[in-house]
Amino acid sequence: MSGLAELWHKHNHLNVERVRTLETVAKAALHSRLDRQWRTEGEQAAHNLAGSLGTFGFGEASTAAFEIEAMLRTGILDFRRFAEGLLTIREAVDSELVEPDIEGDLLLADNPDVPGGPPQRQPAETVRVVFCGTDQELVERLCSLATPHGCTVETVADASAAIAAITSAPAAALVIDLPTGDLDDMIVGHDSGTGTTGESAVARAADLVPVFVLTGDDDLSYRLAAVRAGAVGFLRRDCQAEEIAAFVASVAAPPVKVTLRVLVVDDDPGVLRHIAEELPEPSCDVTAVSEPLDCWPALEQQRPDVVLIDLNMPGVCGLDLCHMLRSDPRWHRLPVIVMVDVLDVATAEGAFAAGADDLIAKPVIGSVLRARIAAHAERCR
Amino acid sequence: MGTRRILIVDDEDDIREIAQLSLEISGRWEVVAAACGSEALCVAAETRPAAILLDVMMPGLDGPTTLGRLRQNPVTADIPVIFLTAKAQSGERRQLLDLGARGVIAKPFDPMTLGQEITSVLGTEEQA
Repeated sequence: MSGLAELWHKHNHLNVERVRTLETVAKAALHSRLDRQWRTEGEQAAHNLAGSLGTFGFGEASTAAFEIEAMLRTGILDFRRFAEGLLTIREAVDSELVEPDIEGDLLLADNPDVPGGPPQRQPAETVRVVFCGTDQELVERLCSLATPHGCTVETVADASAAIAAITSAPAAALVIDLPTGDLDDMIVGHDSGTGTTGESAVARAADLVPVFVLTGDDDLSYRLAAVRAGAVGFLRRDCQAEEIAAFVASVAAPPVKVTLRVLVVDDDPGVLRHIAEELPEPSCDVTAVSEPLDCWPALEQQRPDVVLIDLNMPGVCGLDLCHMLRSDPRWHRLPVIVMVDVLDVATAEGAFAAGADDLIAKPVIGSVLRARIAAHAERCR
Repeated sequence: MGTRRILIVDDEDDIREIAQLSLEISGRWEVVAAACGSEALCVAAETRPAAILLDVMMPGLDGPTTLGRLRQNPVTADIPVIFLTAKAQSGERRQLLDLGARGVIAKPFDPMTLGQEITSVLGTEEQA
């Protein structure tokens, strides 16, 4: 007999998507770019999360979702409360629901002497972030913000201690604070004693964990050097501690496991088979359609994250489908990748003009296709 | 004890299916389901359930509109309707009851006690 846990696994992808929506809303709000459409979408996502999570027994997360819904409805945003609530929701969505004995629980619920409890959940783990720096005030502010983001902060004073800290125990991120000076040594790897350029601390650390650089000097050459050394984040020290914490947490937090739904439209069954093999479960859920117009009901049914369309098909071609997708408000933002036999300038211009987001040449190489699909889906979230 | 048929109407798949699971396992209800108001009108007319659990906020026909249409059809006019809503504050509850609903159950509901709540709302004369 199917139970609560089975329904949780079946439907939790909806909650994962709703959390993604709220994360996007949070980022937009943080940068004062929260428009009416995103506010409405966020409000709907929070509303649905509140109902779903509460019904599955996640009372605290449901309450947090209701609070976020109210913030978005009224337009009165308390960013800290928003971030804390989102963390609570994400922990719930990341949880594994232990299969409850719902039949037994219902029998227990009928007996007032033996109260039945809600489903048991396994709490999500916190992540460890190493902070390299000596600014105690900044450390204290970041520590106070870390817990709501599901992080613990460990402080070290210099680069060698930072490398030791991230190699001695699992860490989700390293934040290197460079108020002034030290920029050459840490980023460029300049050895002031010999005048030579060696491997920088950032480069060494970046091989192991995501590295963020905080600096008071917004010199573009240092920004470039930091990125080249492998840093994933370069933030000015004078930005809000909340912004730093949110940015680090968004990268450091364990990724929500998402199955990407891909709709593939190609009249060649061999191509459909090949793509299905290159996009295996559970990372992808592929719906293959060989008749171009059959993709329309498939869109409704699958709600894909990305659509792959063959350019040359008899009757209705890939460009026709691109135009049709872009002319429908439900799909006009859906990422579309067009598969082409020959990738030349005229073909590319035609596909982009029809509304394609990307092109890929046949025969499709699996690793390239997977990377492109993941990138488009992520950008669109 | 026999079973009675209930129609669950909710556009959210997870909510609809968990309500269905909860009621079917109790052994007291045979569940039919609809994902929107217009589907609910058809299913209600075809299956003539003993009660309808109806979500308030749905795209297309919302709960109150669906209730109005059910009342216009002689086949479904007398079926007790219980609203399911996340906004179950007293003022709103009163408004929903004034529309002719038998009761209002708050979202999120507890799947362990949903059947008891429905039975309680319907009253002893409706119990199976």
